[in-house]
Amino acid sequence: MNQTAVDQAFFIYFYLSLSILSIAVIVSKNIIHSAFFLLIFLLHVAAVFLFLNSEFLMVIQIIVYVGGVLALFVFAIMVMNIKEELKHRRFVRFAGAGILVSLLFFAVFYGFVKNVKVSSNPPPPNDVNLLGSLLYSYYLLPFEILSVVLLIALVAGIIIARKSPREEK
Amino acid sequence: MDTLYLIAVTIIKTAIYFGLLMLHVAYATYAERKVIGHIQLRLGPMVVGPHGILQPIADIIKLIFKEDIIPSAVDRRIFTIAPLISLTAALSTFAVIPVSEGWVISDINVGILYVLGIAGIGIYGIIFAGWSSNSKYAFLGGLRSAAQMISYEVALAMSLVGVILMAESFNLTEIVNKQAQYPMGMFLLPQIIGYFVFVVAMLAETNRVPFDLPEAETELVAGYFVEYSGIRFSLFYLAEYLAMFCMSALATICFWGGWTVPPFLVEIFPFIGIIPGVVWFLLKVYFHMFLFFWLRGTLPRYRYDQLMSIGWKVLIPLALINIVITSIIKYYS
Repeated sequence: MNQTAVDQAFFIYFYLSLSILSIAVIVSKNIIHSAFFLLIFLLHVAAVFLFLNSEFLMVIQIIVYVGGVLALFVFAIMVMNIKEELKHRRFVRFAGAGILVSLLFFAVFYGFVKNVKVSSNPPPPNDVNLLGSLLYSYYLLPFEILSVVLLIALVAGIIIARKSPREEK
Repeated sequence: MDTLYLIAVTIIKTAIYFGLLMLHVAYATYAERKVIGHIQLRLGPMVVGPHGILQPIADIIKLIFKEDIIPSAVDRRIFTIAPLISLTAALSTFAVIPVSEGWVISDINVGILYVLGIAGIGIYGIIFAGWSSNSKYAFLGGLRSAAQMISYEVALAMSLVGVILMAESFNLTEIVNKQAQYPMGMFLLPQIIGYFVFVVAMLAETNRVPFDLPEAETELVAGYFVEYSGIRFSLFYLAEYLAMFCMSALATICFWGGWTVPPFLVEIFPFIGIIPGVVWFLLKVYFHMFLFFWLRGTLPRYRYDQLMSIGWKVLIPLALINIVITSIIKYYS
């Protein structure tokens, strides 16, 4: 058993489990079960990043998606009344449209990926230092614009959540 | 062949680390009962063995042989898996924590971020346990814990940014080695604000007194694990103590110089240099564990709104000030 065989075994495992988990997220009736499958799914995605030799992306995946996004999802689900939701029929009404959209998506996706060549030189070993210096020099403007966009979203959220002046009276 | 060899070595290392960790957790419960006992002018456990030294072993045997009761109204699948999530998250953090120079399972470049990220997964165990128990007490405990851990994780991560700036690395070994240039061989003095924020946030993050609102026994019976019994209950207990050890180790590595000896001590007592690094590391970790028990014995619990305002209005601004000051000093020196 050499390096590539072990790599391949892991790759097949992640390929299969990612597909099964993503289907399980959609199929499960209970919304908390969906959240649970999504948790495992996101951790698997992080592991795939590790296989591509990008430790930093793996950790950011865990911190942002598992620690932040999904935690807020679960928190919001908790505050809602799930027992009510369970009685509703599943969202099968738009199944045809969903299949159509996904086919279109994958067709476009294939068009993009078709001509991609994988570069043979390995990525630089210490990617964190490189990332930092690039982010604050070459990509400074997009980085700043992104942070302003996030700030706008924050301000908008506060304005929506705040009571209107009429209500306060 | 190389890969298999690597896997085998890693498994052996992990097994040794795991065994030692479990021993530490068992005796941390004993130490806690003894310390709290003496603070309250009691003796603590005294029956099993001399001074109750075999008490944790007896406790483990009792918990393993107890019946694992699963109430009929719970969500069975999530209920059984929730303690495992907490435990796995707590155990996984130790994969990157170095005990001494080179004594680490995986010396990855983003160690400090990894520990913070993986430690955050532990809340899912608590939230899922609270939800699946189908009990009001457990549910409230789970909700409180979710809100608390989301808030304090921000402060915890920000308090470490100062350390990362000074060490210029995310690697835990590198952080320890960088501290040799600073006074007393630790980041404690230059990062004193960061350390203060870290200690308060670490108490909240591990659900300990004075921030143990998720398991406040006077209001919520026991909080999120009220429906658990037997081995699954002890898994939650284990996860909590492992998280405490993890945070203590992180504090030791980031602020107390890890396994290095303070240089001024070596100057006064030259023979101290022969003590291996792992002893120093453990001494510093034990100090932080003692801090946990000590605070539990002395402080009352905070109210929930106080907890939130401390997190968002005191700790996060303090951590931000610390980042700004550290950056300015670093830029001009």
